Amino acid sequence: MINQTTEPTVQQNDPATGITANKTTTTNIPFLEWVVAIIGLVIVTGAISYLVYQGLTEKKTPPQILLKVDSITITGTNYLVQVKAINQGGETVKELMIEGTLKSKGSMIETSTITFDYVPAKSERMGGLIFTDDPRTLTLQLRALGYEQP
Amino acid sequence: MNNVTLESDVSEEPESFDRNNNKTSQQKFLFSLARAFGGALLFALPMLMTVEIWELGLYIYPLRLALFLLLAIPLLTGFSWYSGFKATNGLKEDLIDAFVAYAVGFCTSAIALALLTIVGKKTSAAGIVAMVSLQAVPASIGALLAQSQFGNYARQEKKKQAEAGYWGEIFLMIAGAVFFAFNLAPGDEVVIIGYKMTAWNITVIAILSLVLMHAFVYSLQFREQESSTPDTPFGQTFFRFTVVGYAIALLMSFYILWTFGRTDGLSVERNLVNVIILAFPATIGAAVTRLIL
Repeated sequence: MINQTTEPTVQQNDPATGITANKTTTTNIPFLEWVVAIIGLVIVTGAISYLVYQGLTEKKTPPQILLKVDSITITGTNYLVQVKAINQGGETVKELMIEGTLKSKGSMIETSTITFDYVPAKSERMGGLIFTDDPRTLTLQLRALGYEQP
Repeated sequence: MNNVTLESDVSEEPESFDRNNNKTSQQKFLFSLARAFGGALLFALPMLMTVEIWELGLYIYPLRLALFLLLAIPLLTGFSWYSGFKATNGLKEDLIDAFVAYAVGFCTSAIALALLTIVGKKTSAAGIVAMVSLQAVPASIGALLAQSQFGNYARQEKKKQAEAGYWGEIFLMIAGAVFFAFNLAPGDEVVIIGYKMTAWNITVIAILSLVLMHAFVYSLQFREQESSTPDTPFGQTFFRFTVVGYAIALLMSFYILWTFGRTDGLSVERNLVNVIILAFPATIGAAVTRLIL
């Protein structure tokens, strides 16, 4: 085995000497190691406290999906409607289905759907609906169809 | 490294070294730290690039994750005892090493997830904390293992392990089982395999796990000839190590599945099937840790 060492090597077979060496090492932890260890301690304590706080205070309110049209752009021969799905509830949803319907005077002209993989609690995700008719001249209706509990 | 020496026998540090040459000891720590980052990446990168583990961060129960992070402290401290950044001599130093490893694990996890654009400005604070801290645990185990894999102290640690004793062996089995179960529990594979398997398949997997466990335990005896010598009766080794080891793999598999919320709402039978399937790799982890450390 190849070992890279920066210190001279001394064989200490004498158990008494070995113990002395041990004591020296214990009292001599490099300053930098202390610093890094304390950073670790702070991060871990912080993460645990945050998670415990969250676990104790979070309300398992059912998912509440708010849908917003972010922008409408012409892409080639189609119209792209960018949709923002905001989950205001306290539970994450999986496979959230969104349906966009274009209507003209009550009659349905076109529908398009998006499936969001995950929309975490108190988070938002963006997606796009693609239509062949101009949504700006018609009535666009957005609706969340359903989801799976992860 | 101006002094690269070929040594096969590095034992205790000379007494004068640490006291008189503090600068070198700092440098040595920096070198160890760099290696720890390497180890963290080596062990955690496959998980850092697994979609199920990112998603887990979005719905994991915060309290179960907090418990997992807390339990990782004694796990890392124990690991430090067997490998670690340097040869340590007391609980205090092992605890410091554990937190250094945790710092490395958290940094690795946070930087990697940010670089891979998994966490970003749009991720909620809760999502960031959960995703980063979840992956920080395997990363910090990697940080500690790096030392025993390519470290200076291989020989010395071997010596320490030889003195591990029965409870030390049990601890290493727990650590190995946790690491392997953590690796595989987030995916859907365990559940899918469970649906496909018949009662007979499950029985075969359980028996095979036991046989493999025993094979590893037995081969270890030949390699190290410690805790029990090769002429120890079969029954004693089987019950003290093999059966206990498999029980550990089952328990740790259940614990990890529970932590990840994968036991919720399932029938006892379904849970048992999933635990037995996950315990198959966890058994290998439990058995092999002792060999690779």
